[in-house]
Order: sequence, then C-alpha cells, then structure tokens
Amino acid sequence: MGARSIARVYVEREIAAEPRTLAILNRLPKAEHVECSRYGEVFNRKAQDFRLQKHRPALILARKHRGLVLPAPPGYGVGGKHNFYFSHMLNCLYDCRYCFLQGMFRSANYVLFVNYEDFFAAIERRLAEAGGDDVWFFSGYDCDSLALESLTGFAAEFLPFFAERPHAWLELRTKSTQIRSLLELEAIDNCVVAFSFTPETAHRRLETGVPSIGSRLEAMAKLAARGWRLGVRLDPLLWSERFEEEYLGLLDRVFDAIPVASLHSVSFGPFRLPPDFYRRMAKLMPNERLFAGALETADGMVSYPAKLEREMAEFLNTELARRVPAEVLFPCVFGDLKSPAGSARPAPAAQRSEARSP
Amino acid sequence: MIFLITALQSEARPLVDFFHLGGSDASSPFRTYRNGELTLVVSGVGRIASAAATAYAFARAGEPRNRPWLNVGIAGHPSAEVGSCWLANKIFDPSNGRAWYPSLVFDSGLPTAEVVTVDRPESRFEREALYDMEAAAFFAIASRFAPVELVQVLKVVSDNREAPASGLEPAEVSRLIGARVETIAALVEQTRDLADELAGRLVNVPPDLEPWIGDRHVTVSQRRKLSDLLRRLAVLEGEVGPSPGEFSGAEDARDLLLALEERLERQGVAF
Repeated sequence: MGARSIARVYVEREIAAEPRTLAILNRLPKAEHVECSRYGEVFNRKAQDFRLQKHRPALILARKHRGLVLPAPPGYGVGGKHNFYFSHMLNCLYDCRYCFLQGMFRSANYVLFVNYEDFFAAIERRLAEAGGDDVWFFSGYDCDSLALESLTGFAAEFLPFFAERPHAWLELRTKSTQIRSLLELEAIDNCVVAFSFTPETAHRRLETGVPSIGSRLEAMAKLAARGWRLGVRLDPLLWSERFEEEYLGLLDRVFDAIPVASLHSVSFGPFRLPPDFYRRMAKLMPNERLFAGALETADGMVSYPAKLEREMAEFLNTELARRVPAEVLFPCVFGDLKSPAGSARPAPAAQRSEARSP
Repeated sequence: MIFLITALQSEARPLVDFFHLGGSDASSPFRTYRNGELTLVVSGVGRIASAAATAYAFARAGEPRNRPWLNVGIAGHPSAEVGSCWLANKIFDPSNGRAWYPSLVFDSGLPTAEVVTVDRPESRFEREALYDMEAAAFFAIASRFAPVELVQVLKVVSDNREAPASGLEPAEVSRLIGARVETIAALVEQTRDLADELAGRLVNVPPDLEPWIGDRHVTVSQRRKLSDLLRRLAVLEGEVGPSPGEFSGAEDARDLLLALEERLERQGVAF
C-alpha cells in the first residue's frame, strides 16, 4: 500500500495545467489520468461504496475554493489560545476500522487540494486577525499529514512557510514513517510532529496498512535527534480486557524510545463518533466487534459507557503523569476529570476528534 | 444475478453461446436470455432503448439491489485498433453535458478510456474517446440499482478513422465481441466477487426473526431493533449466541428487547 498503488488520477480541468498538478502526475507515471470538471463529480456521490473503493482508491487532484482554514471546535488544542484546522487532503492511505472518515464520506478515493498557495493566504489572514498572538494550525484532520508525502510534498512546502512565521504553530498528525522531507529540513520550533498510537493488539487487529509501532517510534527517534518537537497522541483510547496491561506496554515502548526532552505534548482521546457516522460505519462493517458492543449515545456522541471511559482516562492520566512532565501532558477532559495538578487543563486535539484517522 | 445489456442482437449472440443462456418468451418487450446466474437483455440502439431495457431487466428480475450491471458492445474510436477492448473510466453525454465515472476498484488488465454517448453513429471523432449510443443512459439507470463499483461499461472497437463503420455487418460485430468473450467473462467474475463481498456485508442476521417473535405483537421499529440486537450479539458471542428459548419468559416485545439489551450490556465493549 502506498502512493505507487494509485492506478488512476482524476484531475479537475481548472488545475490540470498547474505546475504542482503536473509534478504530482509525473510522480505517478503508470497511473491513468481522467479529466473532470469538479471533484464532487467523482467523490462522495450517492451510490458509492467506501469499503469496495478501499480495494483500490484513486487520487483526485482538485482546487479547494472555500473553507480553507476553519476554526477548531471549542476545547480543541494543545494549550494555544487561537486554534484552526485545515485539510489539504480528504481520506487516508491507511484503513483503520475506527476511523470516522468512513462515516463521513461515501468515497474512499483520496482528494488532494493542490492550491497550497491559497491555504498559505488563508493562514496569513488568520494570523493577522490574531494581532501577534500565537495561532495553532492543525493539519491531519481529514487525512494523515504525512502518509502521502512522497506524492504531495505537503510538509516540504508548508514547513518553510511556517519557518518564516514563528507565531504560526503547525501540528502534523500522522501514523506514517514518511519523514524524509522533515529530515531534509532544519527543525523549526513552531511545528509539532504528532504520532498517533493504539496498543499492539489494537494496532494489529484494527489498523490495516499502518506502519508498526516500532517503525513509528524509530521515525520519532530520528526526528528527535534532528531537533524536531514531537507529540504523542493516544487516540482513540480502545478498551480491551487487558486494557491496563496493553497501555502500560505501549507507554513503556513509547517513552523508552523517545527522549522526554523532545516532547512538546502528550494527549489522549476517547472513542467517540457522531451517531450518523456510527450507523454508517456499523452498516459498512456489520461483523466488527468494535461497533457491536454496548456503546452508549450521550451528548450527541456514540461512545463507551461514561463510567468505563472515565476509568480509562483516569488510568492514562495517572500513568502518563508518572512518565512526562505536567507541562507537556494534556489530559483529555472526560466529564470532570482533572489534570494531575488538580486544575482543569485545556482539552487536547483528540477531544473533539472522536475516532479519528491518523 | 448479473445483468448484461447489449444494444444489438449480433453483440448478444456470442455471449449467449459462451454463457449458455436460454431465450425467453417472444412476448417480452426486449429479447432476454438467461441462465441461473446471468440475465442478458438486448436493448436496441440508442439511449432511450438502453435506459428502458436496463429498467426492464431490473424490474423483471424482482428489483435485486447491489448486483453487477455490465454494458457490453461495440464502439468507434478515432485511432484505437479495431478489435481492441476497453473499460470506460468516464462516460460523457454531450446532449446534456453530464458525466459519470465508473469506479474501477479491481485490476481488469484492460485499458480504459472515456466513452462519449451520441445520438447518431460518429465518424468525425472530435475527441480521443470511444463513441457509442447507449452507455450514458445505461449507466445513469443502472447506478440507481447498484453502487458504481458494480456498474461497468466494456467496449470493443469496431471502427476508426481508417476503418469506418459503414457497411459493418452483424457477423463482423459478433466476431469482434466473440473474440473478447473470455475478457468479458473475467469482468463478470470480478464484479461478481465485489457483489458477493457487498452481499455478505449487507446480510442481516438472524435470517428468521419469527422464532424470536412467536405470538408477541411486534411493531416495525421493534422488529428492526430486535434484528440489530441479535446481529450484535451474534457478532460478540459467535455460535454460542442467544437462542429464543432463553427468552421465552419475556411477555411481550418490549420485555424481549429489554432482556436482549441487558445481555448486550453484559457483553460490554470489545474489538
């Protein structure tokens, strides 16, 4: 699985001749090209089946016209006051059973918005509005920030832009080991490369195509050695009968591999889905145990029972507090759970993300 | 059931022979051939005929959803070799400017091209594309009955600028299609595999709710909930799942559903 497996590229007529489009097409010399007027003609139409398309997703190259940089939901962030997110891509190379994208889109094709310059302009506007405050920009909401880096050059193009704007903070969220672009650049202080993890059993059972935990940790160690600031995202938290043992094993592996000094932030997030996403996903995967269990609907979200969710969060909170300094720990706020220091802390990125992809 | 729609009898003939299809009664509005798995309908030439035949095939078969639909036929192309075989990656209807995009999620090994559906046989070939007279209408209708991954258009080139269509005899059309029947059979198999995957996913268990319902009065929404709970318990508990006898004490449907919900809660959550 990878960029090279893409056999077909749909190209919006409007951007067909643009240099970035041509460069991307050159990186896929064997792929067929099909012209379309708007990506919506191909993507997310009725009568498409996400699981069948996941056999062989196509790439769609498009221009994003509106909503390039959007306010993050309340409580979303890792300590910043102004939080926004943007999606240069829709959909993900990987196939995680819990990923909400399957509930959000009918199509598994990848949409790549090639008008990076319009994203830059939108980021500039948000920065200007903040009047000199630090502003966070979260990438990897509707995709994995780095998984298709060899094709998109996303990080290679966005990082120099952020390097010149120290008040603009970028989170790259990924499960990928595609870090070559980052290793070829000087590390910048205002970027956090955040890697998502679930424990080994969940990874093997639920995360098809995702690099192993070990290879992700190796990638993180390389980035740390080059001065990049790292994030750890335990997202979503997944219950099993051996929950504590599984997560303790994961924490040991993660914090043995990564120097604590390189950590910008550690957060965890619950397994939560909007009800309509949950229904679609359960229909797509009717034999999936994850969706068959006694989940609850509360506050407009389908989730584990509140008591269980709270127990999981408290356990993670306690164990993480033993391993990382309080200033990098952003415990997810489940109900009235407080931080180890006893004061409510900002909710991490994961809180709003439900069961997110990368 | 797998549906094949051709425009011409001469396109159908080699498929009828290859798949051992039997004819239907002469009173049918469209000539129709079948075996246990395939239905082939000969639509006649043009968009209206193709749309009508596709809808007819669906209705006549009892409106089965999520089954493969294949439009097979000849097409013109400005430069492609006569006899070459293509899958549509885009279908364009210049009469209304609409486009459709078959979702090619398997490796057929065939080249793909745009198909332009026109009203009259094409000889100018202004676009580097396949030209036919049915695909757009076929696709617009068939994709109401199945996801686009199961709806495919396969064309064999019958004419090009060097070899115009005028004087193309039915025997030659049959020969062109006949030379590609194994390719068509492979496409039938690939789309059938996808349809089977989809069917396996959409099957609701248990197949028979009646032993659970017994003589209880059950509303439509309770029936749906019962089916959902039993499906989820079957996933979590496997073969040892619940049996109706364990819940014989439930006096009415509400009690039955509550008891099943409690059982699901005891199962908790898992992956």
